[in-house]
Amino acid sequence: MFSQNNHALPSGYELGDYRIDRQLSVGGFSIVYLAHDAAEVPVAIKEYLPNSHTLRSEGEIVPTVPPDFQADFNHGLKLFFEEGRALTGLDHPNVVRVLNFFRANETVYLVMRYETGQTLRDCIRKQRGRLDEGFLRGMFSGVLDGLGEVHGHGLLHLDIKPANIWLRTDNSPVLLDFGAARYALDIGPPEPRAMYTPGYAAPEQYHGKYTLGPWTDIYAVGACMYAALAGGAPQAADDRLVDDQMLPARQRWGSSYSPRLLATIDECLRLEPTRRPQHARALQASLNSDAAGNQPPGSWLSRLGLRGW
Amino acid sequence: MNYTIAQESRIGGREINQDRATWLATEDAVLLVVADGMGGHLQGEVAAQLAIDTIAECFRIEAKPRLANPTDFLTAAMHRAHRTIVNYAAECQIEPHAAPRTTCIACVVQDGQASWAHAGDSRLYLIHNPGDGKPRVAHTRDHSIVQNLVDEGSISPAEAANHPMRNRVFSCLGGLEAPHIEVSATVSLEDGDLIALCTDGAWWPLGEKLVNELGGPSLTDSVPHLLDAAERAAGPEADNLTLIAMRWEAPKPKVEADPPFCDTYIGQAPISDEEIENAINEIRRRIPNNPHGASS
Repeated sequence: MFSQNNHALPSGYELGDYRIDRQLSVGGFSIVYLAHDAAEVPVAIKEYLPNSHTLRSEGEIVPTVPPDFQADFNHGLKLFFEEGRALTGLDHPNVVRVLNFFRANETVYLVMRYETGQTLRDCIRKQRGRLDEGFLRGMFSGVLDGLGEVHGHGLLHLDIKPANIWLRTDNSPVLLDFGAARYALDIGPPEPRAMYTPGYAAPEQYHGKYTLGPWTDIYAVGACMYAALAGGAPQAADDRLVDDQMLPARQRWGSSYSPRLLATIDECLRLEPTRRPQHARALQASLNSDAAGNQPPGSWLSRLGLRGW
Repeated sequence: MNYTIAQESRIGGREINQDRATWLATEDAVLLVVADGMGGHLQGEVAAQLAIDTIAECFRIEAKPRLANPTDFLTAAMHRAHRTIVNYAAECQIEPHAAPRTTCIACVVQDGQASWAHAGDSRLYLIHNPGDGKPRVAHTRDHSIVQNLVDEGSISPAEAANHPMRNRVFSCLGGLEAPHIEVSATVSLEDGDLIALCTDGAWWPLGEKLVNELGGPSLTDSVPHLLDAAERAAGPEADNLTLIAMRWEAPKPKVEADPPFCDTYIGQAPISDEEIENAINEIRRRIPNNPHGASS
């Protein structure tokens, strides 16, 4: 294993038909760049570059994969292909759009549409939480619209968090980063690369007691909504299982937000998967309807068939 | 092994979902399990959860990657699940008459053959499509009081479907009495055969529709569509509904260009240059309105 970070491709580097502008973000498995195509259209390019299995020093372009790590590199490559397959099957305004996929520099690149805006994480940080209810309802309705499409294709996102929700300048959201996505039914054998973000990951992502399902992503959506009010992630689910100190949204913000919105958040954050809303579309419908939100939560809870406590 | 699996569980019109389903696979064996925690008993959902967890745990321990004997495995795992639920009830000091109980149906596919075991009225359907549009269908016999009445000839199947006692089962996991666990013969599967495990909340409202419409082009479409139809048919009082279906594909002599839906990457097999090119071209073909063409 190598501890140092790999160097990004330099600004101005010609990568196939694209010209690298700058690095947007770096993760354990990839670097994302802002680049421009031949027509000067901005794109986001994700480069497969697992930090623990490749080396790229300053001034180098082609990463080195030491022989001992070739198998690990190849395994991750297959997972990167999975992400590409998952995303190219989806064509939805609230899901990031894939434009191209190609091989270069002895690794592979995923090209995505780039739009101006910011992540929900940055938005929450700037506002220190306390986001407006109308904004939250509209924006999360879009998130759930995209998520419904993802689930409709038999996929689970499994890493929904504010950093993976992009807000366009008109505040419409785009789901990003399907690096953890899996086919919902592709469960069983041990997970080769468990990825989760504390605070947003559902309890079933920490241990295999319950099956992963749409309800797993719904927990994360609930945690994002909670974070949008609190300014930061709720207590991590594995800690909550031991000693639940997460104050329910209804208790914490009872005077500032509608009972319905707060009840929705608390429903999503239930530790027991079957007691959460089971479908993105049902949750979305409850966010869309009754914009005033004055109705007691009982009416939609009973419609969803959920327990009211 | 090539196969496709789709599963979904819905709460219906109930307060909580007491159905549970899971599946597990090794390179050589697949396990599918469905359990329907029994309403009217305390913590039916706990019984159902314990049942699928126990059977899955047995599978994890014994399928390395093959089961020595699927039939023996199923019998032993179901009995173990029963004892786990009984022990749980004892630890919680739940009165015997109120003890948590669950139906259970479990199926193992290994060596191109299926075997299954069940207690209660959750069903396994085996659908063989010979290609002439007339599927051959078999399903497990419910361990229910009305099924016994049908077998005796006292009532017709149509009367059984609307019988007030139709939910009463005489065998289940958990509770005072030792369960009657019925183990199937081993059945050889043919290419395209379908196996469906479901709770009564799914099979009861669907009737023939389940068999006729499960075998669409994609199980990931037909399973949710069937549950939509079942929910509509059952109305606002719908029971919990769970359906897990598997399409078996006979081993093919040649490797297909498209990887199977449920392909899982176990281990770290080398990847050839050709495989990388194929994967990239496949992804490029899938990009809508790809301005960069299909392949380079």
